Amino acid sequence: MINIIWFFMIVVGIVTLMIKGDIQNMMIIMSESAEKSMELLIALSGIMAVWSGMMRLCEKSGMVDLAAKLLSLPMRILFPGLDKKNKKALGSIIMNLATNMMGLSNAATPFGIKAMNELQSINPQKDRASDYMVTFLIVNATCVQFLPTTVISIRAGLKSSNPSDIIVPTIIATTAALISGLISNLLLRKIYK
Amino acid sequence: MRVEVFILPSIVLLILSVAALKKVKVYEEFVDGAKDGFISVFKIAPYLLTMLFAIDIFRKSGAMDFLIKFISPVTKIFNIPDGVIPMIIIKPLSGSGALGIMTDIAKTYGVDSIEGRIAAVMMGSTETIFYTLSIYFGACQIKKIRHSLLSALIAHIIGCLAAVYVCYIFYK
Repeated sequence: MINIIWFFMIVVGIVTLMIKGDIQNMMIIMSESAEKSMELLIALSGIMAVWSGMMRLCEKSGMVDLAAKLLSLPMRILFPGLDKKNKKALGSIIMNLATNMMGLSNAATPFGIKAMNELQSINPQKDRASDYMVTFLIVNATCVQFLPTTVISIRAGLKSSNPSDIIVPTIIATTAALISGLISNLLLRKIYK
Repeated sequence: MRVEVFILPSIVLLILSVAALKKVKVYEEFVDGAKDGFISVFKIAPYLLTMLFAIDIFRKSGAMDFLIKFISPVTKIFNIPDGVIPMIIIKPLSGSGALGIMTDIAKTYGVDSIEGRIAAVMMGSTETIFYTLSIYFGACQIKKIRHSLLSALIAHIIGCLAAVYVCYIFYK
């Protein structure tokens, strides 16, 4: 999918330049683009390293476990009966969300895959997603991240006057997405048997 | 002074204090984390550069303006600024693409403009749905995905609208 989009962005761009008779600017656009990307990446790597250091401290001081504890009750409500059917699945789901919330996405994906495999082991129809799986996917896709470190780092790299002032709006917007995802899940699960 | 100014320093203070209380070797662990940070920037570097390359040609040729003009009648109804339209389209499809678009919007309209901020909030609000779907369902060979894509897309649209209106409230 992204291959097609990437390809068309360039082709359509070049054709537009040709039609407008601006094609001599192509070389300038290309080299400017590469140069600006490198400038941004250098600015980004410094601040990103700082945030990753912070996140490591969170991880080591047991904040992920704390988040997991806080998530335990809401997850029991969202996945009713799962703790009796497969305790490991619930555990993996909670760890996936806890690591996601702390912005440790590299750590989150293995937990997510583990959770899916555990859910598959109690799935009666192996080629069809169970209600648990769909719910997990939606919760995962709209998981609140308390510190969107990459976004903050890029904003800092682009010299924002206050790179982190998007934290509260981001949490509100994500919560809205989560709630609408869960409501549509409840309504649609009856239709998509 | 607005309250948000205190959020970040407080978070940093909290993280450091809790770590110290739990007897974490703060300096050494921080260094280890910083290593991961460099590595992750190193990893996203080629993706970001590749996406920005395509986006720059698309934007600077004027093709982006055509796309925005084409879609803006719909987004006008919801009072969504034209500048953030590309973000709404790309976000479910590609994480690095969205990162590129966010950067491009911040550079075009200003990082602290309303467009720049809305794009940043959208970036943090939902995951890359198609990617998540293919990884997780691919891992256990699920073929009938039922309403998961539709529900996730509904969440994405609502999240985007929320991003727009929350930013209007916060920054206007």
